[in-house]
Amino acid sequence: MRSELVFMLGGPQGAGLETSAQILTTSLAHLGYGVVSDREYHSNIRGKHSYVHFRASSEGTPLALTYPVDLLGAMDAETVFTHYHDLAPGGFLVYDESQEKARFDRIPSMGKELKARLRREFAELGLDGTLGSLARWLSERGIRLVGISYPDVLSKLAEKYGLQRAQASRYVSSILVGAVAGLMGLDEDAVRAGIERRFAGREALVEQNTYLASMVAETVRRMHGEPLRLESPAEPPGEVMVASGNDVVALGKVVGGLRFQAYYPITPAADESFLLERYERVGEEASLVVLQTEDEIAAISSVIGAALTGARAATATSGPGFSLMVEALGWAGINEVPIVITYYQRGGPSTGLPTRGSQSDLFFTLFASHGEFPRIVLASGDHLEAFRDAVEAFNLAERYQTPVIHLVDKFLANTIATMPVPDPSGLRVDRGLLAEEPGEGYKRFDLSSTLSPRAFLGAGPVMWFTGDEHDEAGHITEDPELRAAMYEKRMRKLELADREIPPEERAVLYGSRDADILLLGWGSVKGVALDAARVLEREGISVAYLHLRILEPFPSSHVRGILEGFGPGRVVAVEHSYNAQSAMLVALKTGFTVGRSIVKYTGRPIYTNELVDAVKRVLKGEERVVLSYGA
Amino acid sequence: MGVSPDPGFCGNCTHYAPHYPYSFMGLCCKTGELHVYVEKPCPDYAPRTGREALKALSERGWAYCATCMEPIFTPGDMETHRGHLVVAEVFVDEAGFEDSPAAD
Amino acid sequence: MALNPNQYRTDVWIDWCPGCGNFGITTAIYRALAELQLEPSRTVIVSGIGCSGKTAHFVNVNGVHTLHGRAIPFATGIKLANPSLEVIVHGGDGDLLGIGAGHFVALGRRNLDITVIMHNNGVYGLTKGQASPTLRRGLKTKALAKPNIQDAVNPIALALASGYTFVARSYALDTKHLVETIKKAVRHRGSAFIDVLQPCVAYNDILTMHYYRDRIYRLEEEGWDPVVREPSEEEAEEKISRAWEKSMEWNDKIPIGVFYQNPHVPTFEERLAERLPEYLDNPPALQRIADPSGKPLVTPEHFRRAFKDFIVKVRR
Repeated sequence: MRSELVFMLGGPQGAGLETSAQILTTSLAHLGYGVVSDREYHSNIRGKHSYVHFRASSEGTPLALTYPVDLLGAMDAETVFTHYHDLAPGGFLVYDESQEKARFDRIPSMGKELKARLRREFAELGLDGTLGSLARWLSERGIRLVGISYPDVLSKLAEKYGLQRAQASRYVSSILVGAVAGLMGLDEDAVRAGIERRFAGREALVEQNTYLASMVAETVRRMHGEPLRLESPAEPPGEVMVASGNDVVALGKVVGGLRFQAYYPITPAADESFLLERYERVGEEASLVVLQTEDEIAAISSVIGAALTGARAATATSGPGFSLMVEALGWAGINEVPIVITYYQRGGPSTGLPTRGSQSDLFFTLFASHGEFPRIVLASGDHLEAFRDAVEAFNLAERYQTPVIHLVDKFLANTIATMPVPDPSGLRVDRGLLAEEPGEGYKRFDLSSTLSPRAFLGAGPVMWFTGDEHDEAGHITEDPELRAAMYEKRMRKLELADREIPPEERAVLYGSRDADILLLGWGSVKGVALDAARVLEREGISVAYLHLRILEPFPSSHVRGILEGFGPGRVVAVEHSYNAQSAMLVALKTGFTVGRSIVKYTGRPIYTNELVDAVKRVLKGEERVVLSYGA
Repeated sequence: MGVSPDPGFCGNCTHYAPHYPYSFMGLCCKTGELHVYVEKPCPDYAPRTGREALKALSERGWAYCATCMEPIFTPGDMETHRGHLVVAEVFVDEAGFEDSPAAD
Repeated sequence: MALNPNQYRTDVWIDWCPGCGNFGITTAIYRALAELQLEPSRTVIVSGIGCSGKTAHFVNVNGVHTLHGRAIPFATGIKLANPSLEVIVHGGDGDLLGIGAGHFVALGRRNLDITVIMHNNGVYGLTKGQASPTLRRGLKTKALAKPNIQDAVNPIALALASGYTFVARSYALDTKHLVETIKKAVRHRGSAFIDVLQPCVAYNDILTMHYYRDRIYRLEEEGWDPVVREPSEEEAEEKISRAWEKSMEWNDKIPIGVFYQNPHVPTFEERLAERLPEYLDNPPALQRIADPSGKPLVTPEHFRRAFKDFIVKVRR
């Protein structure tokens, strides 16, 4: 038996794939396995190719995804054509054998570039372009075929239950769930747990889909046994949380005291706000307002307005939306307003790759908006970090009275993972310096200290705010001395933050200072870097990872010290971008030149297998490795 | 999916609105039931003549080829889809919204 | 103790050109606030950019001088987070109907209880007199090199189309009328819009004091009834249609007064309170978020209960 399984489900977008993925994730979690899964999809509602890439383990939640896959479950022919390369030797292919005559070049949803690649490949392999010929070829090379006629299976279900028209694509979901459950030896109770969760309260659906999945599982088990059964988990927890990055940020914000969130729909950020609207009431006295605005400018502007009244306020957006927010970001900066912007990076520039990931906006967040003002930029590396950082972002914003940009990305947003249920009682809410009973003489921008005590609009003294440079009361000034004093007061807040926030929390070193090589990264590079380090360790290569978590204020001397210990040739920046912006930032802030980089900008995440390989290439002397794996 | 040569089944039936994107399923517009496109005789069967698609084309401006998963905009295009599952109506199930991600 | 208009003044020097229509608008604000006895600390003036934007600094109530075009969304956040505050927006015609037109429309759709006072002078004053969205095509004001080549938007009609439930026009130099109109607008529950016609002595040599003096007349003097009396859609539609037609009147005669008022449309705050029953009593700005020791208000029990959909029990 194996301790982990990598598998993939694919199919037309919006037609049951998500349902399969959720059911299987829940079922595996219910059995105590750690699961991580990433959804890769197109900017489309329904019909284009989409897939979910899973890794399940009996030894806790896997750190990252990797290739090849041990099992490919295909809802349609396009999935097989697109991913047949990804199968491990001896792997399993579940497919609809009624589609064997389907030809790759007649699949309308498939892009012409992929068709051209397949045409070349199939010509070389002597295949006729049908699904059947590809399946036979795979079989000859040791791939085990699990052919199921989806129409036949559904006919059987129809005989027993009749079919519900509204649920058509669900049935295809359950066929795949059943096939995977059969091969993995998941029992009916576990599958039912997943189905019940997905179709909560819809009894007929639970019944039908459980029956369908069990029927398929039984057939598959009979034909193939349970070749992909995982070992029982060593130390199963009593319960786990199963959530996406969007989910955990939303939950973190609720715990952190979010009371006003405004947003304009954009991928991959919108799911967070959508979820918050579902949870606008938590506990007895907490409720939050979620406002869908007319654009991102209104979103950030209303967030600033709400923050002035004392509510913890935030928005969530992606690159195009943040581009629109930039002017108001400066207003929050000059007026020292604590706001939080959760920034889900996706592929740019412009509309770019709306549904694909990227880490190319680091410099944008560090320098966005004209003029100089302090901002805090923090980036989360995984789900638990994102949950805690969602709380921390508010604390930092209020403590330093300045905007905080919480950087996450599509990879995290759409990755569903098992994790321990967070304990909110271990977290703290820090509202920063507040004025005690502010009276008539109160001045919001009192120059006598770096942090002027905050009062809330409507809660005492009359206050003024302006986007112009202002005096202590908040009225416009162009006086050169007052301008300089107010400017310095603002900028000093960043120096204060730099002194107060422990550098080891801003840049976290995993592994030894004596390691052979140091990977430098931030955000969702964390998981894959640590996973690759684990693999390389087994091959006798010691790898450390320096995780940049707070990028502004940058912990310069702490980072410089670590990097200098390795030297330029042994530090490798790993990033989902072209420029490896973290290396540029390090050079800017420390003067240290990071000599090596491993980058990826296809919009797909960096996988453990390719990072392992890339690190070896760097150790052999390559300065820059560009990764590209993944459909 | 092409059209079965045997005239008695869903694929050749005028009542059949194929599911998008799984055209092996479809809605029987006569009974309102979800059917699986399998070769099974049906009492409600009425042969499809192509008139419905042509009518849709002229009245609404488009018909749909479920074989190629693409709209047909001109009578000339009808020719190139001869032998395909060309229909006036396509069935999009109501469950899809729960499966579609936010994607723009 | 009752506040008099003088107590709504600040000691900030008013740097508008003498004779500017803003003088009249500011005077009317001082008086209206005093007559309404609005508490300065519970009142917020939110303004945009341009000459009108400075209004926030000249009035002794909370002032939030925001970005060009964005006064409405800032005000929206303030009002939603603390609906007990009286929020008044001041913006120019370029601010509200040019760069901020999308927000102007959105506020009408929400019917948030905010008053919007538009300083309408037909030009962008502070940037040297360019044509604003309310300047009619073919007019060549002082600073323009050529006659205006773009058509004007009709503010009253746009407000009606957007859903404002109080739509009025007044005139900056008819202080008495403006005071009354502002009072009505502030008292109205819902989004209120006042189009205040205003000469710009620096740049608009067409829409002058004399121009307006010869044309302006009061709607109420001809028995105009703008108010929807019953909560019926029929009456509302009829009154909107009439107001719309009236809004087309311009060249020889220019009506001022309340064009339309519908008190029966639920405000955004009321719509929210239907979903969040405690919203009006305990709005976002006033809620606790932590206990005195800084522990989040969301306890582990709340967390588990609220987010049970994310928690999976592991089978033993």
